Amino acid sequence: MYPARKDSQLRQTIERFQVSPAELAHERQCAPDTKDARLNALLNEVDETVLAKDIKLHQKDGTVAILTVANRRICDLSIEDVSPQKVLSAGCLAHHLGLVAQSTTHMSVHAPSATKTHETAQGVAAQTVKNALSSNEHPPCLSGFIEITSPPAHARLAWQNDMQKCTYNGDVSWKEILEGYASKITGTLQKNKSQKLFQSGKAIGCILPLTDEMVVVVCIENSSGTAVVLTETEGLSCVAAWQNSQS
Amino acid sequence: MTLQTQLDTLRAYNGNSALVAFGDLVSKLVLRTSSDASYPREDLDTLARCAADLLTINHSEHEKALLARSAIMFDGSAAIVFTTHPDSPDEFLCTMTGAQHSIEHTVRSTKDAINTIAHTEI
Repeated sequence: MYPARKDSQLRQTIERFQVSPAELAHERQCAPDTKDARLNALLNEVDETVLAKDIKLHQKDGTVAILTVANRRICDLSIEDVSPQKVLSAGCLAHHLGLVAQSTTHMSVHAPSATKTHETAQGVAAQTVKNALSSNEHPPCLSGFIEITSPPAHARLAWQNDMQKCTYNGDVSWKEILEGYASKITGTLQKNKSQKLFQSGKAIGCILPLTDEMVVVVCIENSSGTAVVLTETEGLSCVAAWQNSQS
Repeated sequence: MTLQTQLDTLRAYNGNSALVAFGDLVSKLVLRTSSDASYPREDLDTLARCAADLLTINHSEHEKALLARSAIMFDGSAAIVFTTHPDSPDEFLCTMTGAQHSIEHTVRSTKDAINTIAHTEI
């Protein structure tokens, strides 16, 4: 049985699904005041969207960008004066949306263009774009690691300067476990000055088994870091891919 | 097969990896190595301390019993695989390889080697 609060959230979500895209267009007009709040509102809108629709971002002079979203993913992005990208990547979307959000004043929702086909499987999930946006604020080697581990991560903890002020994405059941491992591994790597064992030593990390199938992977650079829960195969593949990107 | 031969064999099997070391987790000391160059004692002590700390990190006693203990430390150009065996939990074996070498392959061969060492009269 659902608690009363979840029951009410569920009812609101069902009611939202019953509203046509045309009516939704009148529901949200003004974008929030700050760039970060606009991006957050936009990605939350994407994350709540199952049926295909277009989200138009406007500034005073007119429409600046149109996002086609479906299945909680961004399937297409067209921006005025920017040639269309054939393959959307989380990093590319984070970059362009960051620029567009600076000048956006209004957002509106519309039925999708009939001429567009939606390859939802190839779209980028809202959460992946959020991770890419947050990774842009980290040191370069760590940013690359966060981007590579974003798609497969079952849960992620990320921090800058202070681990007590970390951000967490994922199933709540992993949170406490991940915090415990991140703190212990980071402490061990820093206390023992483990960088000395390696030649590059900019970013350093560790993989530890979590369950029979899952591992926790921690990567730190300076005073920033991330800890992710992955399957063992994903963890080893991601570290290998990241090492290749560093060479 | 002597311990030294086993370490040399493991290093050769991993494409002449930079270092294979066998040590004691309680005293936090590296006892025997096979390497492409001599390593300063200070680095080997750091290696042993990392092994002791990482191989004893567990979230709960339940997990401690459940897991085969291993840990992998890495940077952008190399990885160090640490393993220990339930039958001789105070000993550790580690292999350091470059990024061009498969970590999965190193993990498997290092686990096989510690298993052999744990069941060999030395």
